[in-house]
Amino acid sequence: MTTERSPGPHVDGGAVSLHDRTADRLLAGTLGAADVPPGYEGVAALVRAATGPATADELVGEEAAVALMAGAVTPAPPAAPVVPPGTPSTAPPRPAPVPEPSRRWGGRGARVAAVAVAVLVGAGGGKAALVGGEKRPPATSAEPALGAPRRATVQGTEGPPLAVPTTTVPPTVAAPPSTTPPATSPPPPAVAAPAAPAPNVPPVPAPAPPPTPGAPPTTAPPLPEECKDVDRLPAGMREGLDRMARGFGFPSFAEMCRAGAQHSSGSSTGWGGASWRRR
Amino acid sequence: MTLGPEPDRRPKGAPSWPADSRVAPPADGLRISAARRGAAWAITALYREIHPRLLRYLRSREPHVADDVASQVWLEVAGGLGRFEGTEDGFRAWVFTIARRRLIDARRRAGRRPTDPLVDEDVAAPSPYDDPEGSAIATLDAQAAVDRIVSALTPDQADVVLLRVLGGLAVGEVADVLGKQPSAVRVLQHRALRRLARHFPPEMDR
Repeated sequence: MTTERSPGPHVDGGAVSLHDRTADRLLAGTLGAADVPPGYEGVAALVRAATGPATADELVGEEAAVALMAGAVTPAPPAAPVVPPGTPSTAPPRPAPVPEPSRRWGGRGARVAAVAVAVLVGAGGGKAALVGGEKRPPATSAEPALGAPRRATVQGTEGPPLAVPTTTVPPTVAAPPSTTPPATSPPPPAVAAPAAPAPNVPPVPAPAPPPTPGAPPTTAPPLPEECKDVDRLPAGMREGLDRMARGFGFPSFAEMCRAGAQHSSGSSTGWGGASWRRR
Repeated sequence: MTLGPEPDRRPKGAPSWPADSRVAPPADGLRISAARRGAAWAITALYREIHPRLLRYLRSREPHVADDVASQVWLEVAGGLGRFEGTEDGFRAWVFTIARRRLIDARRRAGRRPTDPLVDEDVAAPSPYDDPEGSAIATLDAQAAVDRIVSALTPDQADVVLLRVLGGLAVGEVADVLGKQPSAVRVLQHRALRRLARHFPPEMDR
């Protein structure tokens, strides 16, 4: 590591010029008395004196300091080790930064995907809930990938079991067939009918009020901005979405999006399309 | 589960490590690994070895705040000790690196210049012969010896020499701490040694 700076010592102002290695040993105090270069005896003595034993004054409060440190030592977290300066890094290289999605399609695609998820949930759960749980969308090729809508049963204190659609669960996540949703899952989209929950069943959101019989039909809400973006999607992406929509019985994804938007805007549970659109 | 300080598992009557750091520890790395788990005996040994030198360094640089800065340093060490990876030499270098940073912070807070009297190498250092009581290096205590080193050198030179002598830092480590190139540290070190040799001739070592 050290390099010899000159072929031999030379006198410089009464003291020889030191090699790097000799200087290192002199400063480290590892140079024997016989090895001290001429003129540096005083320096060697200074170094010895400076690194002498501790005095009582210097160790005042040692017990308190050690106790404080022993109590303050925190166990090592898995990352960010502290290494002394100059130590070559042995830590694994940082992962390469994940490139951000394209701004051009990122936001738009995300919005469409959000609507698609909302539509899927609406088609699989909310739609079924709105029709009284009697109609279930046909199984499609999209279900294995996105997860089939799951249905749970709430055992009320009275009456028949109520169908409660739950969220779409990916197939890799094994959700127990329980009425207690996992802590990380979003809230259920809708419920079929109001019922007094069982004691161990978490409260569910209030259902949407049924439409008043005889009331004039409400006009369809305007299409959300997300559905307008569908036409501007790349052809390949749009074909895939269309295929998925056809699996749910819609002629195209745009129609599915429209239906989903209507369903989301008509839902009083407020979680479906509204919550996704907020993102 | 909480991890508290590790109890002292040394056999009864086992001697603690001597404060004189020139006595090599029995197993390098053993104390560090034990200290990382909060073993009081290991922390005591490291503290006894490093703290005196740390105090000498700090007292020679900023005597008025040296003890406070030392406390800050050990608190910071305690906070990061569990994550420390390295040898005892590396640990000592780490402690002195923290010390110098806290020293700079203290100077900044005080809003004043460091107490080093010399800013230029050409300025004549006070002759040790002016102090008859301390003229014999062999009779100097450790702090007096450190003060003598500092008084004879420029601030940069003193930093290099003290970090190397007291902190046991290698040239590269000193360069990292001071924000200089290793070659610049080498130059400062050689000039400092020549200067010390000039101001503390061999006849004083008696």
